[in-house]
Amino acid sequence: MKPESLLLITICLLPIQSNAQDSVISLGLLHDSNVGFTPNSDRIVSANSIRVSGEKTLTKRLSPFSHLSLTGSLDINKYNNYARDHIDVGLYATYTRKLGLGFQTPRLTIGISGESRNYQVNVDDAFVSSLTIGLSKPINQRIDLALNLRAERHRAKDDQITPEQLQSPLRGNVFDRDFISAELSSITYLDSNWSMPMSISFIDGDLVSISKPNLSILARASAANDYSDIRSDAIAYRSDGHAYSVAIGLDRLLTEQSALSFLVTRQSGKAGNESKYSRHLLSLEYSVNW
Amino acid sequence: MYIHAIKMSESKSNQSMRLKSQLCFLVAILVSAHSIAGDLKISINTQKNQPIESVVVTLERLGGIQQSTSPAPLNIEIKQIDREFVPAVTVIPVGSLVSFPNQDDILHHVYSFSKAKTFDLPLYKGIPNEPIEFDIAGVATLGCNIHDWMSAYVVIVDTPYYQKTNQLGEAQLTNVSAGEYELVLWHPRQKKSYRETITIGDQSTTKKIELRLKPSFRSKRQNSNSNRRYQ
Repeated sequence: MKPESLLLITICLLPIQSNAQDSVISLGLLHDSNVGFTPNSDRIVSANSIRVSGEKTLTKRLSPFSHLSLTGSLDINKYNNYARDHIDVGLYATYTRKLGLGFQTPRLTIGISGESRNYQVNVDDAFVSSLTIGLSKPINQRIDLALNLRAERHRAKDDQITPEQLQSPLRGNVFDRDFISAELSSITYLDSNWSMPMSISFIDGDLVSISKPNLSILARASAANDYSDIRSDAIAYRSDGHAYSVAIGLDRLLTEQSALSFLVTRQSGKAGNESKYSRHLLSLEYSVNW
Repeated sequence: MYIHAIKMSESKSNQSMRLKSQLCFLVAILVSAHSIAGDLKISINTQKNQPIESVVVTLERLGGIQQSTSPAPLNIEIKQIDREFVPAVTVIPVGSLVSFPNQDDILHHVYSFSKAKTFDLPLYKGIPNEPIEFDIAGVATLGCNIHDWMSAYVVIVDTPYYQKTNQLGEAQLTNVSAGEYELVLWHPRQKKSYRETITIGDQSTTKKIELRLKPSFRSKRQNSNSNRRYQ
């Protein structure tokens, strides 16, 4: 499916009236300590961003225990640094099956998604697709647990790369990357208004770094043999690697239809050439649903 | 002979009269004892002196004495409005019929696993065909299989003396036969069960009780943002 088709479907979905509280608009602030996901030894550039998002979900109940939902989303991200502004348009389809009757019954979810990411510097524009299989279960009145396995594929829009920008025999575009991840997450309800989401995840696959070129970076990029000048002052290169991510947050329900969420994420990884990466993300989001 | 027969007849008649008067006296005592009745006014608050609504208050007769009257079964409704059960707590006599009209424009799936009543009403809108009979005393916890935060409680009682506290945390049981009772309080979030022996006389009895409640954890909310699109 082409990104333009995704955008069209999303715009069509937004005004459709369906079940209550399946439309969400949110405003988020994000601090990213390593926006280019560069190795710790290299210059790390932090950035702050503001994000405005909207999404609409349509749900079709298939049986007393299963339903299908389709979500269209539009995210606008504006960065103060590093020219990472981007607009994302996505479609998410999820099949959910509750494995029996009752509040504590486990539920199985299978989701597929397609998302078009359009950057300010458009060489890293990409189409992202994913398959997610998840199992979740409320343990008791206070704690929900979930396990999600996810395969994600990023495919750059090849027509954005000119032959002059190719510096080496790349495995396709440098922004093409595949990875799988496993995430164990929980939500602890502190009371009827406060809750605490936590997650730990493992990611294995391609890591793409964007950095200002220096001798170290150029040496690393040459070694990786997968790199590209994405603009005059930045180089992108790809390595095989893995990363761990830990997140903890606090959600406050302000009213029945609005909430404030704070999340801290720490991510660290290692590429095949033993370079260590780390970043932390701080996000604050206000959302309204109806 | 004839006179003797008359005397015998008079003697039997006197005995019969005496028996009748004794019976009348006994009935009078019983009736007067039965007619001695009082009221119980109860006020229930938290430790912070906040009134607690929807506490079920019951009086159970002690001393092996049967309840003077059986509570009459009721026909009532527990509605689903804006994805909540209304009312959230209901108290009914054994044998009552409850229907579950769905007044939302979305589907609900009402169920109970409780020993007092096990049932489920798969996906429906409007009014289900048949009401559910609650024929065993106890507490039935209801849920909606679609909306996990929805919960309601049906307290089924076999005493004629029952009430539910109002917004001010108050309940009044009227015309309670004099005698010894066990006062039982029930609330979905109470920390410990509450039972107390009390005596009801011919006057109004007033009680103020402090009940400790557990916090509520779940409410109508969206899923966490990080996972929302995959749920």
